[in-house]
Amino acid sequence: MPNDPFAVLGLNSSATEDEIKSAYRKLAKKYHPDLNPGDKAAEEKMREVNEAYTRALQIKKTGKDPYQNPYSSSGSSGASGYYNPFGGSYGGYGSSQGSYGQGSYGGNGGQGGDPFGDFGFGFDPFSAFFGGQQGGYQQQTRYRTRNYSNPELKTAENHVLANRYHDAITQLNRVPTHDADWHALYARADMGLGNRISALDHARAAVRMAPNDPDFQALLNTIESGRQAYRQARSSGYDFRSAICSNPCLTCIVANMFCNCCLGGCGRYGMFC
Amino acid sequence: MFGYVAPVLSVLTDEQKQRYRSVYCGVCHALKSRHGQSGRLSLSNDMTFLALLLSSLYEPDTTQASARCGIHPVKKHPFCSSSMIDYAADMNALLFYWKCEDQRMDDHSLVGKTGETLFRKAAKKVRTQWPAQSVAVEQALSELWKEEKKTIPDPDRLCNLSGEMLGAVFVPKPDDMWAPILRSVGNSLGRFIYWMDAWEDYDADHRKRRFNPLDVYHDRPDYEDFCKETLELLIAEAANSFEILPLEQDLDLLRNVMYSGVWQRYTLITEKKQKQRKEDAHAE
Repeated sequence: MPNDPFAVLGLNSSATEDEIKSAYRKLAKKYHPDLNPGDKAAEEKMREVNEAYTRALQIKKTGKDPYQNPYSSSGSSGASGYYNPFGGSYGGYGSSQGSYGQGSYGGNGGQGGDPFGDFGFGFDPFSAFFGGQQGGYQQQTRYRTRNYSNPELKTAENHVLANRYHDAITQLNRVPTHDADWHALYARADMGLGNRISALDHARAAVRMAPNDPDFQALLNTIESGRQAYRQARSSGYDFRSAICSNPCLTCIVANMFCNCCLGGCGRYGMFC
Repeated sequence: MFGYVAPVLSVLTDEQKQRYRSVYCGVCHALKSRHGQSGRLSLSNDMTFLALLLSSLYEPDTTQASARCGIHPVKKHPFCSSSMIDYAADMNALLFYWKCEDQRMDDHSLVGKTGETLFRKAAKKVRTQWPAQSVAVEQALSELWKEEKKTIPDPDRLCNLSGEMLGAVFVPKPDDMWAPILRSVGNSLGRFIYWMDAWEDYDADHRKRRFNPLDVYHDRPDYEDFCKETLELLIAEAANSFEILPLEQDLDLLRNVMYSGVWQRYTLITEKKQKQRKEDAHAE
């Protein structure tokens, strides 16, 4: 069984996210393979520190230990899926020698042409960081299969469940009546394709049409979870607005002082210059 | 599509302001030394943010110096130099070249044409040194131009392509363990910037009958709320990925940009719009 990730980082579980980051950096600087070439013990330690970092940060963010709650879609790969991102060498910190390409990181997400669409879209970005995840699609398992009055919607849902999102959209576009179920399915297909804007829009339409349906609410919450977290972060101290609100003009002037160079006449790109 | 990613200066401490300034000047100096005096014309806050972010993540060897320059002929200004600042400067030149090209094609503007001519050499140089980034930008842009010509353009696709463009620019070392997270930050920021730019330009584009991706949504009654919520959704993703990176150096400064700075233009324009609406109502 793995060690307590906080202990590995020399912290206790009350440490803040920033303390975790700071502790990680100190240890990474000590054990980084670039600084300890050929030292197997340092390499092992670095691996342990990497793992502890991701775990500790996720425990802080979600309250869940990914090790104890492996994502369902990791399936049999379980713990090895979890270790995957750190399986190779360590790349960074002044060297670009990493032996694994970017593909080894959650590389199976790219169904819709946006291989990184799975990061943080409607679910914790961390799951992609852990590698071996199904991106946004794993969330699909959360939705119960519904009873559709229209068999064409059932076909669309089957496409969604099989990750055939383009087919699902084609199918949905053939259906003339746009009820709540239709919008929810559209949102799910959009999520699979990494279409954030359309997904949000359709999920909202579904909730608007059937406000008491828990499935639609859950779908909308999934899409909006990141947004809520951002709002929370802003309200709990990462908001630096206070002074600008009272006097936006002053900010504007100071900002312009920073504007050293300008090609002139760049109206469309106001702040650019 | 530049200039939204800047800090709220008025709440920075003097030390933070100085730090930001020294990196900003650092990018400017790197532009000059790598792409000639005219390279400086492309300087932007966005790539200063990238320089800060990458410096914080990789902590490269950094040298401090101070110098006078054309814009500050009297007082010497301190500036930083490092491999990451050089990288940000290269990306700055690259993006500026393509921005000019885009502008030139859009409305045959003289500014676009001049910029394109001035930066052609720089873009070529960057292409040999950073082929992955350059190719990704070119590909995303050519797709973007194709998409914008369609009769019913797809806003998500346009946003995603802009994301891909900035995503590639945010990754100096594709094999690095943090590359996917950096790419994700760049991706989300790119989408956010595209939407923000479209939102800001809507009225002007509409007047000049120019393409705008928000045409699809503009007639809805909840248009303004919808835009704001979409922007929040997009930037939230950037912030979530950003918070995974183990950053220490300049963390407050970076968060200032991520959580507040990116909203400065939005606040300013919203206030302007409200004022305009009041005046219009009054005139009637």
